Amino acid sequence: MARTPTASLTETLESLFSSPAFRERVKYVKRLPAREAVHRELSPPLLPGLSETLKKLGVGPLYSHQVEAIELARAGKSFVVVTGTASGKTLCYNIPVLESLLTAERANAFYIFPTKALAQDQLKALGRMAREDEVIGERLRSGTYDGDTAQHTRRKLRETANVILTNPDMLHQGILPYHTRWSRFFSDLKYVIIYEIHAYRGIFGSNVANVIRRLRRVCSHYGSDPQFVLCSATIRNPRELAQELTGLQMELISRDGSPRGPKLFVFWNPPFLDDARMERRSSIVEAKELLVELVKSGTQTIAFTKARVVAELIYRYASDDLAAHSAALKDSIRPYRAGYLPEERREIERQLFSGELMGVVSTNALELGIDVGGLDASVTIGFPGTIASTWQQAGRAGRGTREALSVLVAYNDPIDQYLMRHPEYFFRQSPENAVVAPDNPYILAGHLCAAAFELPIEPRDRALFGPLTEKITGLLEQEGNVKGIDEKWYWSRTDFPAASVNLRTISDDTYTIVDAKKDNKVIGTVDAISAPELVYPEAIYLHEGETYFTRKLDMEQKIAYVERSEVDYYTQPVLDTSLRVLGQGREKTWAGQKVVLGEADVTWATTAFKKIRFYTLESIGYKTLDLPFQHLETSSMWLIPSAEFLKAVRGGGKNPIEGLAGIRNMMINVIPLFSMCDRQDIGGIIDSSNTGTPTVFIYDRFHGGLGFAEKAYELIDEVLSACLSLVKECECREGCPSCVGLPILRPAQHQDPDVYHGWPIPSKETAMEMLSALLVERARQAPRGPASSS
Amino acid sequence: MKLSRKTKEALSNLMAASRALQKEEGVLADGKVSVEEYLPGGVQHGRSGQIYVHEKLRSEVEKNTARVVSLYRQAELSAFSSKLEGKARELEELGRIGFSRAVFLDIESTGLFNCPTFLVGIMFLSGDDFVIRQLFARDYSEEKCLVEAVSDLLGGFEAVITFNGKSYDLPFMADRAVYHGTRFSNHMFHFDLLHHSRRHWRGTLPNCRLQTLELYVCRRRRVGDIPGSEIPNVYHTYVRTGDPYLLVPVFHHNVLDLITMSELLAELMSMEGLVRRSRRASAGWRAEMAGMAG
Repeated sequence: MARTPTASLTETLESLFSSPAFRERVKYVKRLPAREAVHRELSPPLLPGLSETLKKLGVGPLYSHQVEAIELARAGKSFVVVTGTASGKTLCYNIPVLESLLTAERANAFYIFPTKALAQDQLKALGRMAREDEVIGERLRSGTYDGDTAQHTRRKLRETANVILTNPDMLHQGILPYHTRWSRFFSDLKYVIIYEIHAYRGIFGSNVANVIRRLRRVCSHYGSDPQFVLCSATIRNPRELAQELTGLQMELISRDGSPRGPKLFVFWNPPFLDDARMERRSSIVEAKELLVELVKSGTQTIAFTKARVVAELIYRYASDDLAAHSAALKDSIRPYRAGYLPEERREIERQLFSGELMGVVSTNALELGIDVGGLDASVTIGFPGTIASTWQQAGRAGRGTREALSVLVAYNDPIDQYLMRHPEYFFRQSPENAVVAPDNPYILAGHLCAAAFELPIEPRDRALFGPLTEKITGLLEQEGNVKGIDEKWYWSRTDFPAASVNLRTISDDTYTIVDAKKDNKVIGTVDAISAPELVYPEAIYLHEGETYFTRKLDMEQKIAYVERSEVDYYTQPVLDTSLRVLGQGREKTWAGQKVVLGEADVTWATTAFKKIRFYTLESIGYKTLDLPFQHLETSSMWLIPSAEFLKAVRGGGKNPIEGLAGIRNMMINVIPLFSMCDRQDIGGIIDSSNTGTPTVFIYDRFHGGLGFAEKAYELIDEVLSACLSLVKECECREGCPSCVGLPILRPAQHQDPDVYHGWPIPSKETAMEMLSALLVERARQAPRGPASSS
Repeated sequence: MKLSRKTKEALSNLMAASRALQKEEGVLADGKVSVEEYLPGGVQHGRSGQIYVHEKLRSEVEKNTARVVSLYRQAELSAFSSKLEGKARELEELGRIGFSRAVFLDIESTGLFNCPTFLVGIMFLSGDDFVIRQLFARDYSEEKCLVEAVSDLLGGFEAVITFNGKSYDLPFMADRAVYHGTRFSNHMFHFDLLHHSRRHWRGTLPNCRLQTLELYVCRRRRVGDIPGSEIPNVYHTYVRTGDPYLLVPVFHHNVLDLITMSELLAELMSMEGLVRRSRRASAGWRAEMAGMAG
C-alpha cells in the first residue's frame, strides 16, 4: 500500500533532528500525549442493517461521543458536537438521520455546509453507505441543491428527496423564498444538520442565524419542529455559538472518544542569513525543504500556505527537487487551492485519500472539513492569524493511534517571531471566541424583509426575531416595504428582498480564468475581490506550478485571459490602500480630543507589480498598473488627537504615530466586546490626509456599515478604558499580539491574505502612556468617573 | 439592503438604544377602502374571511358577444360528429362538455412566484351571454379567502380554459393554497390556449404572447391598456393608499384578456373546422402575414 511509510516517523524525525542545520531551526517542541479510544455500548443497539453497513465500511465500535450523539438524537434533543479532526463527527449525524429514515415513514433532513465543495464531499459519504446496503439504498434519496444544480434535478429533488445538502446562501435565496414548492419536504423535516459552525462568525454568522430563524418559521408554518445537530471545530464558545445560531437550547458533546496517537508540535524558525541578524532565510524555501525531506522519507504531508501564489511556488520548487530523485516522487505531490476547478479538486482529494499522493500544498481551502483521511504530518507556513485555525490545520496530521508531526514555520513577521520567542503563549491561549449578533438592527432589517416576503410577520415572530422585531417592522412599514393588516405585516413590494441581502462579507462574484490560446477553455476561477490581485494584466498566473501570462483582465465580463508561457519569474502585486472621508455626522469632544462619526470610502487597488525570479528571488522588474480602485463605503468613527497632545507625546521622546497604531490595534480587539462583532468585521487605519493630522480611523468592513464603529463612537470612554486595562494587564514586556500588536489588518473585505505582510508590533509603552494621559484628562473633566459617557 | 436615509437613521437610533425595548403597538392602517365607487359589486363571505366580487355581462362591454356565443353553440353541436386528430381532439372534448360548464380563467398577481395573487377573472357562457366575474382581494389578508373562493367556484365547472394556465395560473393558485395552508382542488379538464396557439402560429407570428395573438389573430389593438409589468406595483400602491381608482385599468386589463382568450378559442375551432369560418377572422391575419412575408 502506497501509504505505508518507508521509515517510521520517529526514525525520520531522528534523522532530521540529528543534523545541526535542523537543530538550529527548531525553536520549540511540544509533545502532545496519545489518547486511548473510549467506546460505549449503545442501547438499544443500531438496526442490524445499519451496523452491518458500518462494519463493511470499516467503522469499528462506536466512540463514546458518537454514542452520546445518537442517544441525544433519539431523545429528540438538539446538540452541538465539538471533537477533533478525523474523530468520526460525520457519524454523529449520519447515523441519527439514517435511523430515522429506516424507521419512520417520512423523515427529511437538511444538511447545511458553508461551501459547495463540502456538500459534495458529504454526499459521497452518504452514497457509500447507500451502496453497501440495499435497504438504505432504497430509503435514502439524497442530493446537493445549490447554484450548480440543474433545473430539472432541482425539481426532482424537491419532489422526492429526503436528504438535501445545501449551503446557507441557497437556503436564503433559493429555498426559503420558494417554500411552497418545498411543502412536502418542510412538513416532514426532522433534522437540520449544520456543519463547521465555527465558519459562521461575525457578519456572516449573524446573517446565517437570521436565515435559520426564517427556516424555523417556515417549518412551523408546515407544522414541523426539526432537531438541530451542529458540528464545530474547537472554538472557545461552541455551545453559546450554537444557541445563538439556532435560537434553541443546545446540548454540548465535547468529550472526544476517538483515539489519538502521540504528536510532536514543532516551532520552526528559518535562520538568519547575515550577521546583522536582519534577514532570515526564506520561509518558502525552508518549508519546501522540509516538505521534500518528509515526502522522501515516505511521510504523507500537507503543507498549508496563506496565499495561493505561495502554494504554487512551494509546489513548483518541491517538485523540481523531487524530480531530481525520481519521476515517481515528482508526481506524488500536488498543489490544492481555491480557484481550481471542482473536478481537479475532487481528483486531488481522492488521490490524497487513497495514498497516491504523498504531499499536497494547500491554501486554507482544505481547512474546512473535507475528508481526505488523516495524514502523517502537517506544515503550517506562517501563523494563519488565529489560534483556532492553527490547531485546525495541525489537526490534519494524525491517523488513528499512529504518531504524527505538526510544524509551524515562521515568517520573518512580528507576530510569527513573537510566537517563536514565546511559544508557551500559543499553547496557553484558548482558541478564539466566535461572536454573532443576529439582533443587529441593520442585519435584522434585511432579514425581516426577506421573512415578510416568505410569510407575513406576526406578533408571535418576536420570539424568533427578538425584541427589536416590532420596532423594525414599524420602520419598514413607514418605508413602504411592508403593510400591516390585522396584526400581520405583509411584504408590499414587487422586488425580491432576499436578493439585496448578501450573507457574506466576501462578494460571491467570481472571475473565470481562461486559456486564450486554447479556445478560451476555463482553467480556474478567482473571487472578484482577489482577481485584481492575482490576474492583473501581465501577471504570471501559476496553476499546478505552470506559468501562464495574463493577456487581459476584462472587469466587465469578469474574465481573465491567460496563456501558457514558459518564464523564469513570477509576479507580486503592490497594493495601495486609502481612506477618504465622505461625510461627517455627529461629533464630540472627549478628553480634549475630537471624536467624529461619519461615512468613509475605503479604497484599494493593485497599483503596480514586481517580477521576481524563481529560486533566487531577485527582483527583475517593476511596472505600474492602472486598475480601478475597489471601494468599501461604510461608516467610520475617528479620533483626532489635538496638536498639544501630540506635541506633549513627542516632547516625552515618544513617537505618537506608533502609539496611535497600538491604540488602533487594541480598539479592534476590544470593540467586539461592546458591539458584538467579530474582530474581522472591523478595520482601522492611521491617516493624516483627511484631517491634516494623524488620526485613528475605525470602520465597519461591510458595505453601508453595521453599527460597529458607531457603537465605538457612543462608548468611546468604555472602549478606551478597556484598551488601557488590556495593555496594563498584559504580561508581555514590549508588546504582543494580545495587546498592541494585531496580526490582521487587511483593508479589503475578504480575508484571503494573498498579499500579506505583517506590521511591526508598536511600542507598548507609548500606547500605554498616551491612553493613561487621555483617561486622566477625561477623569479631570468629568469627576463622576469615566463610566458616565453619553 | 437599500434603505432610505431616514430609516437608516432610525436604525442607528435603535443601535444606540439599549437592548431592552418596550413593545410598542404597530400602527395599523385600515386597508379596506370601498372599491364599489368605481367597480360595482359586493362583498362575498367565505370560510376564511371576505373578498370583493365585481360582475358584469360581456355584452355590456363588447359588441361582438352575440357572434361569439353563436359560434360556441355551433361548436357544441358539431363536437359530437367531428373526427379531429391528435391535440385538436381537446377542442372536441371541450365542445362536448359544453361552454356553460367550461370556464375561462385569468389571474393577476404581484409577481411570478411566492407572492400574492389578488384578482381572478372568470368568464362562462350563460344563456346567450357570457358572465364575467372578477374576484378581488382588497388587501393581502384576503388572499386566502380568494384562493378558496376560486377553488370552490371551479368545483362547479367541468373544464377550465386558460392561456398558459398549465404552467402559470393554476400552479400559482395551488402554490398560494399551500402558502395559506388551504386546499386548491383542480382535477378538471384543462384546455390551455397557449399550447394550441403554438401549434398553429409558432413560426408564422413574431411570438405567441397573448397580446401578439390578439393583434394578428383577433385583429384588435389595445388602447390605453396598462402594461402587465406595471400591475404588481399598482396593487401594492392600492393596498398602501387604498385608492380604488388605481384599480380600474387593472380590472379592465383582466377583462380584455378573458375576451381575447374566448376569441382565440373561436378562431382555433374554426381553423379545425369545428365551426364555420367567421368572416372577420378568416382571411385577415393570413393576408397580413403574407404581406409581411412579401
